[in-house]
Amino acid sequence: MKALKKESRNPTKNGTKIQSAVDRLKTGIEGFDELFGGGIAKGRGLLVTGTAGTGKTVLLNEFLYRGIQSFTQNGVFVTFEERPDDIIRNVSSFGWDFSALIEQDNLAIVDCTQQSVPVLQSGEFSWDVLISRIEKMIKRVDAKRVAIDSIGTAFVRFSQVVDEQKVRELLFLLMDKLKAMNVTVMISGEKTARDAALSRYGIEEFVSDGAVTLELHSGQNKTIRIMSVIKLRGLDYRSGKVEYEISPSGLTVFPKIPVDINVAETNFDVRLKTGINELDQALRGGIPQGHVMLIAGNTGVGKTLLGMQFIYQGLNDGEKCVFVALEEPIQQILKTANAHGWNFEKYQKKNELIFIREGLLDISTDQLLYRIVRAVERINANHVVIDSVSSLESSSMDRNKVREFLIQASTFFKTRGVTCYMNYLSGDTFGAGVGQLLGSLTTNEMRLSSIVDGIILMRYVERDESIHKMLNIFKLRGSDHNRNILHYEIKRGGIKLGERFKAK
Amino acid sequence: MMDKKNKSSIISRIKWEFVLYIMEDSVASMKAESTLRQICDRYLSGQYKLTIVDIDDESAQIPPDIYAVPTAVRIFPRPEMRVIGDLSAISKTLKGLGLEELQLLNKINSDI
Repeated sequence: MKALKKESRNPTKNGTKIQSAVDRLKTGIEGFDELFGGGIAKGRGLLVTGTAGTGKTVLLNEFLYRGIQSFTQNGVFVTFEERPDDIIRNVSSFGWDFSALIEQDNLAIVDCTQQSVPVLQSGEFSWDVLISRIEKMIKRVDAKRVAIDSIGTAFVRFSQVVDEQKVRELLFLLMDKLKAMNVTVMISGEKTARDAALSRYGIEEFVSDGAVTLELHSGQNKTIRIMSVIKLRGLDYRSGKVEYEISPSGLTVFPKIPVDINVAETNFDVRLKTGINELDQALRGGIPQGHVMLIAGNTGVGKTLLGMQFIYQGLNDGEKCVFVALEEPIQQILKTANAHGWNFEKYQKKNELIFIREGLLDISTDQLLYRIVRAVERINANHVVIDSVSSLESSSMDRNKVREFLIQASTFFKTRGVTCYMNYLSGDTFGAGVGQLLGSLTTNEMRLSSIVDGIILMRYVERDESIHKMLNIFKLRGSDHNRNILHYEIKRGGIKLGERFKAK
Repeated sequence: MMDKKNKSSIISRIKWEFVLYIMEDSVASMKAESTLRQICDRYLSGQYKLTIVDIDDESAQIPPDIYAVPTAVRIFPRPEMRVIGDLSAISKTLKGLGLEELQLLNKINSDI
C-alpha cells in the first residue's frame, strides 16, 4: 500500500500508473468513499441510478448533509421531485435538521416542482431564469456540493410543456454551469426494472462523469441492497457489487476491503500465547503472529472455550481483542467466562475487547467483514476470534460469499499482523476403530485449508466405554509442532492438555 | 341568450392584464414583446395593461415557478395562464393566454 501511494505521487513518464489530474472529494457517507477509492471526482457530476425505493434521494440528501456537517461545505438541493417541505420532513427521520441548515444559510433548496398554472410553449425561449436562480443560490450559500433530483422528474415535469430536446438542453446547460462553478454534483436518474441500459433519456451519460447504481434484491427474510460503480471517468474505483444499508442514521456502504496480497505484517518468530501452557509447548512457543488458525471440531468439544482462552490471555498481556459471536449471545459468553474466572466485562469497559454479534438470518458477509474491520481498526486489535465460520456458512445464502469473506478477512488480518482463530463445526471424529485414529478430513476443511495457516482438530473419541477428548495440531505453516494426538479435559479455568493419546 | 355582438363588447371592455418576463437584449424577448402588443391591440382593442419585467432587475420579484424567458403571464382575468417562448406560434400563444375565443369572435364580427 505504501509503495502504491509513492508511485501515484510520482507518476512515471512512460507511466503505466499515471494518476489523472482529477481530485477527489470525500462525501463523508460511511463506506461510500472507500467504494470510490477515497472519494468521488471533485468538481464533476456523479449519476445515481436505481429503481424506486433504492434510496437515491437519501443518498443525495446525505451527500449534502455530510458536506455541511463534516467538511463545512455548503450545499444546494435542486428538486424536480419532492416539494421542499416534504424533503425537510423526510430527512428529519434521520435526525438531519434541514430547516436549521437553511436558516443558517448552509443549505438552499431550489424548488422546481411548482407548476400550478397551465403553461404552453410558443416559439423559442431560454432557460436563463432557472439556471441563474440556481447559480445565485450557489453563490449565496457559497455551495461546494449540489444535488439534483432527478433527471426523470425533470422530463416528466417539463415535457408536457416543452419538447424533450429543450429538457435535454436544460440539463446540459445546468451541468455545464455547475462544472464551470467547480461544484461537485450528484444527480439522480430513474431506472425501471427492465431497463438494462444506464441511460433512459439519452443524456445521463453525458451529464455525468461517473455513475453508481442502486439495486434491491430479495433475500429469504429481508431485502438486500446492492450498490455498484459503473464508471468513473479518470479515476480508479473498486469494481464489483457491494451491499449497503439504510439505517436510522443514514446510508452505510460495506465496501470490500482492498486485498493487497503483497503486504504481510506477520512475524513467525513472535509467538502469541494460547492461554494453555501445554498447547504453547506443542506449538513450540505459541501461535505465530499473523496466523489464521482453523479450529475444527464437533459441537461441545470446546472450540468456543479455546477461543475465549486465547482472548483472555491476550487481554492479560495487554493486547486488544475482537470476539465475533455468531453462535451464542454475548451475555452467555460472559457468563461462561465468569464461570471460568475470566472477567471479560472489565476489558470490554476499557474498550480493549469488542464483541461483534450478528443476527443469523440472511447474514451479510459484506456487513460483517466491514464491522470486523472497523472494530479491529478502532482499538487496534491483534487478536480476533470468529465463532464460528460454519454458522456463517449455514446462515448465508451463498457459500461462495463465505469463502470470499474468509479470504478477505484473512488477507486483512495479515496486512495488520492480526492473529485469528476461526472456529469451524465439523461432525467428523477421530476414527473410532483401533488403528484408525485420524479420520478423513471433511471436504470443507480441506477447502478452507488453503486460506488458513494452521489447523487444530478437536475430536471426541470413544475408548474404554467412555468418551474422551483429543486434540491434534494438524497444520502449522512455517513452524515445527507436536504431531501427536493429545488428550485434553475441560475444567474450571479452561482447557487442560494432557498426555499423548496411545492407541491400544 | 346573449347575442354575439354583445358578448364580444363585454369581453373587450374587461381590462386585461399581462406580465411579460424578459431578458434584455434577447431576440426572443423582443420578439415576444412586439408580438404580445400586436395581439393585444388587435383582439383587446387596447383595453389591456402589459408590464414588462426584466429578470436581471435585482428589484424585480420573480415568482419561483417562472423558469424560462420570455414567459408571458395572463394575470387578469383569472385563472392565471402562461406561455413560454417568443410567442411566434400565434395560435398556440392565443390558446395559452385564453384568447382563442376572442380570435373566433373577432373573425365572426369582421365577417358581419
